[in-house]
Parts: sequence; structure tokens; C-alpha cells
Amino acid sequence: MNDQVADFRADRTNLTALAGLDTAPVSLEPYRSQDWFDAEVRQVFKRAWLCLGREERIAAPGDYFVQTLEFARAEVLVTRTKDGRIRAFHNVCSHRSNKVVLEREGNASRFMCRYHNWTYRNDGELVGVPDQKNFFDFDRKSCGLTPVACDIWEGWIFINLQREPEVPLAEFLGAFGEIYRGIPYPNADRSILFESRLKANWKVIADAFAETYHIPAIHPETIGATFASNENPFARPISAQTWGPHRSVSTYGNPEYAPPPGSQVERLFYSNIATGNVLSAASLDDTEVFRRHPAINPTKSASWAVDVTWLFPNFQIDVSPGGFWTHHFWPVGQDETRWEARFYIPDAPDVWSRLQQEHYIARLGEILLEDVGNTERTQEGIASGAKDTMPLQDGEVMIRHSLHNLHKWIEAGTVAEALA
Amino acid sequence: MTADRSLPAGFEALEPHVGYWAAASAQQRRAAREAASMEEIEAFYTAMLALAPEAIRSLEGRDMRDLEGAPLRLMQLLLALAHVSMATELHRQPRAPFTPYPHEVRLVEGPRILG
Repeated sequence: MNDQVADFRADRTNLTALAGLDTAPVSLEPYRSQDWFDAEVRQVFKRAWLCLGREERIAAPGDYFVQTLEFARAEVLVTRTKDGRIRAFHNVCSHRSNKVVLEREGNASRFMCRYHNWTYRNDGELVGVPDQKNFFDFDRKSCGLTPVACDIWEGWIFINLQREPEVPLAEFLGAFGEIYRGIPYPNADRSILFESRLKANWKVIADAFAETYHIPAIHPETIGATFASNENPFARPISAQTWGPHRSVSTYGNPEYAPPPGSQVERLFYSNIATGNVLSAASLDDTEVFRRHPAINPTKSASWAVDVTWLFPNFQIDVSPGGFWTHHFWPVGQDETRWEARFYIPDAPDVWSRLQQEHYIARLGEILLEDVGNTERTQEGIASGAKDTMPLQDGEVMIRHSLHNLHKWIEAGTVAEALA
Repeated sequence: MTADRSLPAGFEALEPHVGYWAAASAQQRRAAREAASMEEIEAFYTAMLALAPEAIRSLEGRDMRDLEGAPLRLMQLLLALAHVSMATELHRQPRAPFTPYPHEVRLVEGPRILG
């Protein structure tokens, strides 16, 4: 592990140097080059383990969902079989390669291709072929759905598009996978989802959620006053950590924040709920569970807001006193991304908690729009060619670490070499 | 339930706002606020905020999953108040400054209760 703690009150912090990264401006080519994008797809996205979300999404035997992976022109069908195992398959019929499952999610023990009614069990086995006798030397056993490598870590579903992954998931996660064991994820079985397709490179979107330097500027009214204060006016992070290709920053929260007098609705809706964080939609019990874990808020700062943990290459888990949420940045093309932000929140069956939740959701919508509404403009600026490089400051250390590791994976002949 | 009245007794002053603001899903409430002018937002905000404490009290003890008819519409108006407050209390304009509109950032899966 590489554990870096910064004093945000100092003249300057030194997270970048402590992470072993150089400090030169970084090239913009990875954000606008088609060749670079093609190399990313081939060397990174088709070799790395990719997180598809929580296993609670398919909690019961028969539950399934279909994940589109535009960069691979693929769809992955993820199922839970009756023995409780989670399996993943290409959503492609063994007969004429039609898509088998047309729904996005549901519950089914069998799937029937609509082209010629070939039928598969949810463990991938082909169990029904109409007029099978009229095929030639037909071996039904070898005609199951094509499996996709799939493994679970701490309730998170990962897949790997290599037919035989070069490294197992545990090795890919490395020390991160050990340190982040045993974190309970409250409300993991219920979530809300914001989604958008954006005309920007996937890294432009991911970078937008990887630093807090932008918060006082982009979010002056929505969360500016919660992530910055007179003590830390530029929202510098508290600490940063790296583990192989993965990384995390612990961000600063203003412990003095209270809704301003003019925020009458916010004050009314939150007036009956005892919670330490007015931006949250979770209970104090959930907050305490997070606070006790050594990997969360690793410096145990009293001014802790959110830990932003970025799993290589395209997945972020955010843990705050109020709960957790995730971002997926799915490349569609060199300058197009499908972004998914999933927030795990409890059911709110009474009037007070439901109103607090709606206020939380309304504000989330504003914050997220402020974040991603900026990205298409950024992509246009990058694409203009006006600039060759961008300078990154110390608080933007995760962006630098991301680019550093993408370079490594693109150049590495093997995954073991990329992880070395 | 109260089939003959749109809102529970005592909330007649809010009737003009039901048609536009009593929307079924969080995304619809969000979209309604984004499409409204500041004048429309302020008119609803002022009327709803004045009756909000009373409206909340009238719904205390009720299971949100079982609401229907007049109390459901009243709750939907309260939920819409959360959205319009973004404009009146945070941005002081209908939408967040420097954000694109229209846009495709959508809440595609809402909460299970009144979502």
C-alpha cells in the first residue's frame, strides 16, 4: 500500500510525489486519439476485471440482468442459478448468434431465443432444440451459452472478457482487495440510478468525479459550502492512497455546515431527523458502521466528507457518512460515454424520511448535472487541439495515477507485467 | 378514499397546483421543475411552503406505500416542493447556472416508494 496523508492547511500538499508520480503536465492525446482509444479497448477493457455492480441486484435464484458493453460490441447476461452461484455469459445464441435475452432484467430459470426457440437454462446449458434430429452430428452439450469469466469480491460482481483471464480477480485487486474487506454496504439491494449518454471521452467523465478542486467553482450553491470552508477554501483532499492500478482519496467536509436561514424547505424537511450529515439519506447507525472501518476515512479525520475509490479502469465507489454510491464510465466510442451513477438508499415509508429522501434526490440531480453538464464542453475544448497537455495540481492526483496506469497497461505485453 | 375532492380538506388553496405539480415519479417532478419558469416555481413554492408543516402533520403516521387519492396528491405536492426549492433556495433561478438544458441526465430508476 502507498498511504499518503496531506496537511491541507500547509502551503501546498505533496500527494503526487508521495504516490511516486511525476509532476509534469500530462498529454491530452489519450482523450482525443482514436488510436489510443482502440488500444485502451484492446489492452485495458478487454484484459482488466470490470465491476458490474452489487450481487444483491440478483439476490434470488433466477434473477438476472443484461449489461451492455458497447466498447466490446457485447452484451453480458448475468444470472443467479438455483445453487446460488452467479454466472455470466455472452447474450448470444449458439445457433445463428441472435441475442437470446431481450429484457434488461428479470427472473427466469430458462431463456428462449426468439429466432428458432432454442432454450437455455440459466446456468448456460442448452436444453431445448426444436427438430434436433435434422441437424448433423449435433452435440447439444457443447452448444451452451458462451461463458464470460465472472467472480465475486465482497459482494461486487466482476467479469473479465479474456476467455481465460491471465490473472485471477484477487490478484487484480491486490492489496486493495485485502484492505477493503468487511465493509458492510447498507441498502445494497435497493438503489436509484441516474444515467446519461455523453459526448465525451470516458476519462473526461471519470476525471470529473475524481477530484474536489472543482467543487467550490462548479457547485457553489449545491455543495460548495459542505466540501470547503475558511479552513480549507479550495477543498483539498485529506489523504490519498494507491494500490497497484487502484486509488482512493479521502475528501474534506465542512464540519460546521448547516442549512442557511433561507433554505426553508431543507430546514423543514430535515427538522425531524437526527443525522450528522444533512446531505445524506442514511441513518446514524449506517454512518457509525463506516466510521469504524479502518479503510474508510483512513486518517479518522473529524472533517471527513467522502472517500472516492477508483477501481481500475472505469469504476468508482464513493463512501460517505450517509451511505455509498457508484459510478460506471462505459466507453461507447472515443468521444462518447454511457455513465451510470447508482445511489444505494433505504426505503422511506414515512412522511418525514420520504421528504428528506426527495430533497436528497433533487439535490443529487443538480450536483450530477453540474458535473457532467461540464464534460461535453471540456471534450470540445480538448478536441479543438488548442492544447497539447494539461497541468494537474496535487489534489488531482487520481487523474494522474489513472493516466499513468493506462499507459502501463497499453504498453504491457501481459497483464502480470501491467500489474508489476 | 376521498374521491370527490382532489386534496384533503383544508388544502383547497393548493388546488390550482395539483394539475402541474402532483406528479407520480421523482423524475417527473424533477422534469416539471426544470420545465417551469421562475414565476411558476415561485408561485407554487410560496403556496406550498405556507401549508407544508400542516400537510406533513396530516400525513404523519401514514405508510407512504398505502397512500392513494387525496392524501397521495398532497404528498406528491410536498415531494415537488423539494424540487422547486432547488430553484428558489439554491440557484435563485429555475435551473443550475451553466448547466445545459434540455439534457439527458435522467433518473431512470427511482426509489421504490413514491419514486
